[in-house]
Amino acid sequence: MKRIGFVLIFALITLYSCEENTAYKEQLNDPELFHSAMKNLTDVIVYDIFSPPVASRVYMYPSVAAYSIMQKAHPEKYNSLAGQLKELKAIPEPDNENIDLHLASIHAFTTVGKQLIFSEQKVRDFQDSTYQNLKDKGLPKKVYQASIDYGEQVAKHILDWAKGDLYDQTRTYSKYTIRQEDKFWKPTPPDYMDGIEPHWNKIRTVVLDSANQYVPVPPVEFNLTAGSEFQKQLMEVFEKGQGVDQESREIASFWDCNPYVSHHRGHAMFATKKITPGGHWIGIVSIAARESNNTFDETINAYTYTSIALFDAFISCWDEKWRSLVVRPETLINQHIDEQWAPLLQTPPFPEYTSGHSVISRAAAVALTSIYGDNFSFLDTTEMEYGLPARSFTSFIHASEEAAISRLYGGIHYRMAIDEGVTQGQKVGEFIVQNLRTIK
Amino acid sequence: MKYQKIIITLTVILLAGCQTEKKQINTVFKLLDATETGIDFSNNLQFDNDFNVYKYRNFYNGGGVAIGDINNDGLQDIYFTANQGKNRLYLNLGDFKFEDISEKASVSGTKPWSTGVAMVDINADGYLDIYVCNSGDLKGENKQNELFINNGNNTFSEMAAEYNLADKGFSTHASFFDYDKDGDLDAYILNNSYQAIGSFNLKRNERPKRDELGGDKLMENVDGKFVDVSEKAGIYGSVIGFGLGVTVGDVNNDGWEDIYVSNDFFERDYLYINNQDGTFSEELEDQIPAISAASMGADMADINNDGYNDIFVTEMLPSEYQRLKTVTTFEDWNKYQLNVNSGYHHQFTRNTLQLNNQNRSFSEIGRLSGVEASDWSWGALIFDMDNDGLKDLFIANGIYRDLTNQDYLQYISNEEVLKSLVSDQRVDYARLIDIIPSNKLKNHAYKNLGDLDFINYDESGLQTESFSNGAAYGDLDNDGDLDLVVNNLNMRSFVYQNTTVDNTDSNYLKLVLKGGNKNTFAIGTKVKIENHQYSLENQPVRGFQSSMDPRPNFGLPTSDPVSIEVIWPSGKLTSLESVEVNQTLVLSEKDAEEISVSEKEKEADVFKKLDSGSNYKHTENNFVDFHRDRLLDHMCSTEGPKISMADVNGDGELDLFVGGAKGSSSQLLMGENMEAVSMNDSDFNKNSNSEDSSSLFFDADNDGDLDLYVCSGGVEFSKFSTSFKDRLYFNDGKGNFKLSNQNLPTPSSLNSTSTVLSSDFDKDGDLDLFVGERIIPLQYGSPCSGFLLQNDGKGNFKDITEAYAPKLKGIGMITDGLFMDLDTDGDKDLIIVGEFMGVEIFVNDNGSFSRKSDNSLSDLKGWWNTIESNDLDNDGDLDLVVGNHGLNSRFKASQENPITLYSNDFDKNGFIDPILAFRAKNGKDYPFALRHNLIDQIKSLKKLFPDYESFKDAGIKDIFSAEQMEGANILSVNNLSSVILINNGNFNFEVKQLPKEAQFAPVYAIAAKDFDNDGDPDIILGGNLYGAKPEVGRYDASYGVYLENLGDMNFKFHNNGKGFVVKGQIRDLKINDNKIIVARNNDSLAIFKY
Repeated sequence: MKRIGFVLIFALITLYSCEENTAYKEQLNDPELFHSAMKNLTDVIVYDIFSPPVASRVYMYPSVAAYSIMQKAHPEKYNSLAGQLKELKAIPEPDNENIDLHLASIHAFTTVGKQLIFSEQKVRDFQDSTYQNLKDKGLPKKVYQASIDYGEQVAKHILDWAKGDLYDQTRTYSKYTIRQEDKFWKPTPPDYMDGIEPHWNKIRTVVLDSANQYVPVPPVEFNLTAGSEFQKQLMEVFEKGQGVDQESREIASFWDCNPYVSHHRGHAMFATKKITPGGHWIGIVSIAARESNNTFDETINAYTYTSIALFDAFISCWDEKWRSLVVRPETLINQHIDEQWAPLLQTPPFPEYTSGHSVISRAAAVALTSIYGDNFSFLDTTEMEYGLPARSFTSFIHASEEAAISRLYGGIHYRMAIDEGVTQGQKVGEFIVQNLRTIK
Repeated sequence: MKYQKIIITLTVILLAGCQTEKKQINTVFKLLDATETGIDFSNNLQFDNDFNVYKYRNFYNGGGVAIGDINNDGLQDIYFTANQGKNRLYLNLGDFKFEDISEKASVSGTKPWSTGVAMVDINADGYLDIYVCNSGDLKGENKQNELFINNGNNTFSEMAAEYNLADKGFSTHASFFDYDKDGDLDAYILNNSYQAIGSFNLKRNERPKRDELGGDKLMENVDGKFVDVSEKAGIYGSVIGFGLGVTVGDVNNDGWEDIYVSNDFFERDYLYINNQDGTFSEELEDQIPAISAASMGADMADINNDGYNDIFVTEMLPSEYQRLKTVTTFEDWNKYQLNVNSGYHHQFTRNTLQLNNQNRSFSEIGRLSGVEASDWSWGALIFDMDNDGLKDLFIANGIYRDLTNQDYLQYISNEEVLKSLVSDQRVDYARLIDIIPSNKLKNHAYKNLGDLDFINYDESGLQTESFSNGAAYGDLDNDGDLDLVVNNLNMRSFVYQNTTVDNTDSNYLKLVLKGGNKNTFAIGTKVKIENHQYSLENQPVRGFQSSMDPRPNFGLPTSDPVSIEVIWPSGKLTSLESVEVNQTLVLSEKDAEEISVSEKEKEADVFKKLDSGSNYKHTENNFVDFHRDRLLDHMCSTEGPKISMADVNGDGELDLFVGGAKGSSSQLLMGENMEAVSMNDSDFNKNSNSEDSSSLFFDADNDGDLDLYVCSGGVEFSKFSTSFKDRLYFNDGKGNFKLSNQNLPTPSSLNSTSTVLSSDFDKDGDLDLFVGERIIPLQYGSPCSGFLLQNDGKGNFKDITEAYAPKLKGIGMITDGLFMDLDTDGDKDLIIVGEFMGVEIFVNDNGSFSRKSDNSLSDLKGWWNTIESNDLDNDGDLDLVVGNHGLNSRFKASQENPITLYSNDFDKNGFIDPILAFRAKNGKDYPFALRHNLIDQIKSLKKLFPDYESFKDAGIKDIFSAEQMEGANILSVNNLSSVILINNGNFNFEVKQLPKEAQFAPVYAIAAKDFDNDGDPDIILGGNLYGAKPEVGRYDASYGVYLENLGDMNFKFHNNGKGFVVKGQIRDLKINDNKIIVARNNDSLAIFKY
């Protein structure tokens, strides 16, 4: 007995005396770890092709999961989201001292994300390689297991919460039945796709009281008589919507953010995929966080805050789109002005008013400004992956304004949808900033 | 180890042994080896970055074949066109030996990308010339068509320019015929548009605008020089003409040649009717309700030996399940509507067989005949393969790259893939194309069995896997049967020898026609074998890019001499009797007689349509079932209007009650003129939100006038909507109807109802009611109930179902019923039918109704719409006629292979998911829905089936776990034909299928009466359903059906309905006096007198 005890102690000493590999700790504190998880999610969203509103949902829930655990690591610095986000209850407490909350946070983020996307293997691959890398850098098994277990637990908590948002139910709600009057939205060339998410206003908001909390002023009255306000706005799209100059063409393309653009060659067809408008702003968060040398927790906070603003802004915008059902300029121009006219950008498949990019960009910009302040200048390289040069902005608001006006240059929105979209986004953003407190 | 190897080898040998044995079965056609024939032609393609299917969309369209005797030695020679290689001419040396004389003959062509070919004697010297279409040179000027004039010595001289036939368009083909009957051959040049498909805006209709660069052309032959007369003649030639087939023939039997042009992509096809004055009227939309979408090749011939040309057009719908599930998408409802509204007509992804109704209308029966799916198809040829007198069907198919493979499309759209293919804005097309799957397909052959039935002709020997395009038939060995030559892509062409004459005791008659004037081969001549009513029209240009042996060849079932009638292009007639068969007969137009063909005596009509009908028009509300019930294929919201008749105001004249769709008031039509009177202040109008699905006049309150029960149906409301409340209106005797406040049929059932019947089943002197439930909204397939409502004599109704007919509960989706004394015990029993139901009988026993359990009709599960009774055999009891879905449908059901509906909330999101499945030969049930449509309903399936490949073999049991299946509602169908049930007494019925023509469309209305006054009741039927998803296609092939009772339960269909011809979706037929009132959905009433 004694002998065995001695041997054991000896072995332990030997083990301890070896240099302990703690490189993993550094890794788990590195904000780049979270950036890479978010990038992985963005890539899968692009791959699986989610429409802009659905994509905003795929960003929001994983971010909230990550934040909720991160907050347990820094309770002195951050508020819990429970009670702040509609129907979200406090997550289970970490009850095992071995838990690494950053690792648990990554695991909860990727696990929730994996559930919401389709190509699970791509997320699983990310998890595997990330965890293997950490293990290689000395991550102890028990820490790994405890953290993963806790991450799973919280992921389940968040997914249970997500179940109550009516997303599953709205999948089988009625499609939109086309109304023939000129003023109403109709599917657009080249694919004449059905309208996307006509029931998105049924999705539970997280900070806003309801989808229709900020209803924009009604659209300008439909009137094709020369000189009417509507006709003037239509003519403006006709004149500017194919890109009047190099600059406006660049702006339009930069903010296109259309997740699915089809190309036809006879019976042969292929599509190009891109990030959504929400995805672009998630990209801007990564730029801002890196530029500000944000820590791991600050990075998660910025992503989460912005994703929440995007999520509610999409619901608010979609509520108006499917209320006012405004026809796209391309439809009217082809019908009444020029049969041959095609906008610079492919018209996305949902009603015109208000402009989604205007609403969500502004809401995101207001949210980001509350974190990083005014006059935060940055070089936006988000679209470089998709072959578009970087653009520089002096502030988030500056970027959001360019995103808004880009829709006119792209030929897919009237000015009213842009102006009122910005207003709507401002209100949504302000409400979120006033009502959602993450940092203590 | 060694042992195993031996066993394997042995097995292989055994297997091989079996196979060779199998091959020895005599097939109709024998594929000859190139070493035997000397024909080693292969249309080889190579693509590169600059010239490929992405740059040139017709890259895989392939070449054509022409068969004709170029040296007048009596042997048919063969010409092949090549896309990138040289065209080839093979001289027939006899005995299936050929010699390539292309170079010697200077006929291989100098232009790239040859497509269609026609052998025609343009200069009327008695020698066949060769016209070759070219369409390949993308940029340059080098794509003029070539005309090789036969020098009469096995050499040719290219002279297209001299004849003004050097067309520079992207020509697909050309057909030569004498459209103006001036004795020479004119030309129709089919040009395919050069413009990129993606660049078109559908709303912009380019059809009327002539394309300067291309466009189809009609060229008149003016003294040997061809002059473009397209505009004057009314021929479209726009940039949206994606012509792949030009088929010429007389479709209205007026002796003048008409033209069918099949167009690829979104443009519809054209049917040009010859106006006999040098112009044509394009009448496709008037005459043909539904066509193929991406139409490719076509052929025109008489498939049912009625003397009229029918038209077959190929498309791309796969016939194999796995391919359907991996390469196909269908347009959604909105896109389809947009196409229709933008002027592109009703186009569907399937082959179409347009049956000529002989009255300027066609019925599309491809689905009924089973020829609608043959995958990516090009050349279709209708010809008698086995000399039985019935023309069979050959379809050459195949696409070298599966461009529409859904997994491929998804794959190349991925960022990393796309990035690897695109650099510096340049696409690596070669690689893009290299990764597209390439699968050979079996060519299709269908045997014509008569009665519009075609089956896969397995014994034809033509189902060789290949990439085939153009094909031509001809009697290469002059033995009296037609051999077949097929041009293949990247593989050797097929030369098939027809062995019919050698191997069977069939007979034939071949004709060599010597035309007068300058139409030396007598193109346009019609030949009829009077004894059998076989007919052929001599039009060599057929199918896809090809040209046939110009000698009409008839297969004949007997060796009896025949009478023949030859109508020459000039209108002259050659009439011969007692012609010996099994010979080749040479006839000349100059010997023909100048006799005008006597008009066939027209049968007297039974029905006459009245011009002035009622001023009423039914208006259907704009509701798209598929937007809510995404997985359903047929609308349930357009089943009205139904009519009831009664003298409501006691003026001695029958008045009509017509149900209104949602949002329209019910309507009374008063008196003889059926005048729609204002309903504004009526209780009807107050309830206009309901959809009236059925109605019944009866005296509810025993006050001597007729009250009215109206069923509230449709599916446009949510469950429990008060709009589903049925309505009982009391008549004040003057035709004013007041709504009773009863909750009908019962306070607890607020669902869509479909039928109401009355009978005094409690024998207390007043009329009681049966009411049937049709459907529970958003729960398609869930069981619905029938209700017995007892009348207290004052018009108050009480639901007594539970006590007197408990089995009516949950019986099914009821559509119609009848009270009828089946056991002659003096009380009326109840028969009900419905969707996914059998014909259910409830036996009345002193007012109690029990479901007849040993009722074989209960197992006759159909999509029954309506039932009617009449004593059809004059035996004193009532027989039944039951209207079903019909057989002209993508849906096929039988006892062995039923259609099954599985409905359950599979994804537990609170909504019922109705999954329709068919039973395959392997006994497994597979879903009709494509992967993306199923995912659209049940999102989680996207994870289970990440790609199309993983889905293509998945049966219902692979898609849903046993756990998910728990509690599912499972219904099935095993018979879709409309039938007569012959009453043999004591609940015994004999099932007799109505004639084929009655199965062309779903039947929604039936009326039986002795219309022709010969002492036995005849039948008229009405139907059609336009509310069908594009993948199944709308049902529009019926123009109303008149079936004359010939006695012994034999019914004869009359082509022109003896005057009963109605377009539209018939929903009710009522007979008043000697008038037939036809109610049509979203249309006016049609009134016929008989």
